[in-house]
Amino acid sequence: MSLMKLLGTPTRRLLWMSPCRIGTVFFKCFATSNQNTPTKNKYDYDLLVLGGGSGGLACAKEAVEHGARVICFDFVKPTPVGTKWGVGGTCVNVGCIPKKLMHQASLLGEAVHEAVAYGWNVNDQNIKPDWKKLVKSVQGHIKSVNWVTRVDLRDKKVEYVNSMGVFVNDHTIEYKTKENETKKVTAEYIVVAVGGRPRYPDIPGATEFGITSDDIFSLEREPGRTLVVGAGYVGLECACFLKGLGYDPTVMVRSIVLRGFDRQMSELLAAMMVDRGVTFLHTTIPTAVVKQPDGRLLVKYLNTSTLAQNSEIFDTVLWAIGRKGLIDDLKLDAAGIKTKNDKIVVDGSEATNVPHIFAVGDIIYGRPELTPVAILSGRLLARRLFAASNQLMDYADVATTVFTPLEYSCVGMSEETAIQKHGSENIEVFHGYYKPTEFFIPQKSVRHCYLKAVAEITGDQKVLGLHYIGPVAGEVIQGFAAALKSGLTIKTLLNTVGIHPTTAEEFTRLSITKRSGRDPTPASCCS
Amino acid sequence: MSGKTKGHKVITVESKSHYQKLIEDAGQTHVLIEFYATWCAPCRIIGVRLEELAHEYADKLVILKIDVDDLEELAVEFDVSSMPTFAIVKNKVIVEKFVGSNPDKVESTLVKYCGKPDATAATATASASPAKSGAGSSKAVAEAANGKSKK
Repeated sequence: MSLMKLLGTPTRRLLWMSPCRIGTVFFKCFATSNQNTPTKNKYDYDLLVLGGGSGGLACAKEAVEHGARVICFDFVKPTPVGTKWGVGGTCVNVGCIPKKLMHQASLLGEAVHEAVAYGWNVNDQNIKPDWKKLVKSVQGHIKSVNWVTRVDLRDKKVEYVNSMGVFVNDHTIEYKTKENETKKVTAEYIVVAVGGRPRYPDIPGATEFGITSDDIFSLEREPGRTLVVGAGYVGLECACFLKGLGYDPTVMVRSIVLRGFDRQMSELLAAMMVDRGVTFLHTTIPTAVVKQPDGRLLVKYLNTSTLAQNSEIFDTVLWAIGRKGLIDDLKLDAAGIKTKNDKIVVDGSEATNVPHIFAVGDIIYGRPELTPVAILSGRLLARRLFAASNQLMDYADVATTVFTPLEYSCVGMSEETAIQKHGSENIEVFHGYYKPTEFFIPQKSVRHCYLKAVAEITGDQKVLGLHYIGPVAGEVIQGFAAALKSGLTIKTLLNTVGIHPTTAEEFTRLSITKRSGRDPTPASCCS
Repeated sequence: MSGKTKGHKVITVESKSHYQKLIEDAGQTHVLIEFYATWCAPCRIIGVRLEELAHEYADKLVILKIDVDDLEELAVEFDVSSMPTFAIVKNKVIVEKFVGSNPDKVESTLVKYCGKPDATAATATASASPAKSGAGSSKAVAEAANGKSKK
């Protein structure tokens, strides 16, 4: 920090020029800067976080634990139809949390019908879901989380501002208060954790008549016959809980389902959805959305393989075609921050091209867009900045789950990535279909209950990836993720005694390899 | 000046200035404040009893309810973390504060500061919901039997 720069700020200049008045000037300038700061430094805060979501809050709260003065900005721009939400970010408000609750609601609908086979006298002919009641419960829970988040920030003494912070220069953020005053704040370190929002396609009627995951969890009217455009996990999960709640979803797929995931598992998951009555429109793109006189939506679309044009009427159109990083409003240029494909580029320490400016969470280019990734990387960053830690975030082997009614969870490499990296002759894939004990009585389909382990072929056979489709997939895979990180081998896996009867134990019973060509369908359990 | 209508219903506070006016208008009268949230189930449960108490205490008490999401500034002032949080205010001073949807605690606290509620008013609410108070309901049953029910 050069002396000239130091002298540049008005308070310092006064101090230098009139040493006899140092006493009064000293107290005056520090009295006006920040409430209870000691002589520390020239910035209002040690850490300024843009974004009050999973990454931003984790970073902010960890930083205060280590004595930093922290301020956190959070602001939600309403969706085209006016939806907005409180502090906590995507996960809490319009992502993981409401998604899992609606997934649970749809699973409970299934369970109620299965209960009949288990002897419960349930009049399952008349059981209907009440969408409005579900939305009210889900939103009530979200609001309670918003509240607890705010109390937590208050208790931990993180300054919280519900406003859009934008860059003025690399140490200064500007924002408007609720009274429309413009204010500036400076910080030694800045962390950009503003996340992303759903994309809208560039076709007529997209923003006027379509909604996204931002809107579905608080939708006041029933969704009805829904077109879900997009076959990533957001699209598939939404289609599945809508199906489970009695609506009629269609999934429009541009090319493949679950891009980036293991191909075989993705196809199997889609087959499971078809089995359950979800309609798929493959290799199809929407071309326009037109509102009908009766309020319903006419969607025009094109099959890019056959070039056939068609149209259909829906009650709701949900865009799930991907998410874009929220770089537009930040004025990143004012700080000189480099971006790529509307995300921020960072190095292995989450630093941007500006050394004291960092980014965490969904806004980062090329990293998994998951809450636990944002949280851990945010915490580790705060420790490096304020607790003299050297530990970097390990982005490898991050487990994830797709919450469709039979869930898909995986950790490590997909089969094709393993083959690409090691060569198919150096890879062994153990696989099998299995039959969960609980499925027999209600005669639930086991056709898509499948798992596989992708491993090196030599030595103890280091496990490179685990994949599982079945009930409670996230619960099954979580422990195995820790095992994989510890260097799990097929030898250890097959020498681990399973817990019986569970579905997770199937990983300890894997014996058939793809290479052998033997039938992976089980005859019976226990032997 | 205590109005006649005040104290008969729970008043929902609309803004900080509305709150300040209500406290000002209460004068020497005790004010019971409930900090609640629309998504707080225990708040809904005790909310019913609060309406009854507003009627039972009539002019002896002012009951206000404050939505913590709408009026966060007031919630912060009273250091509210969980709901329902109750506060008793007299002459603009917080004399007591406690947390939890516990009707017995609310009632005993009110008795401590305002004495017992108006007997006839208490009977009327008791006869409307006989399970609430033992003494009240037997009195109500006796009165009803004698054709002297207040309703």
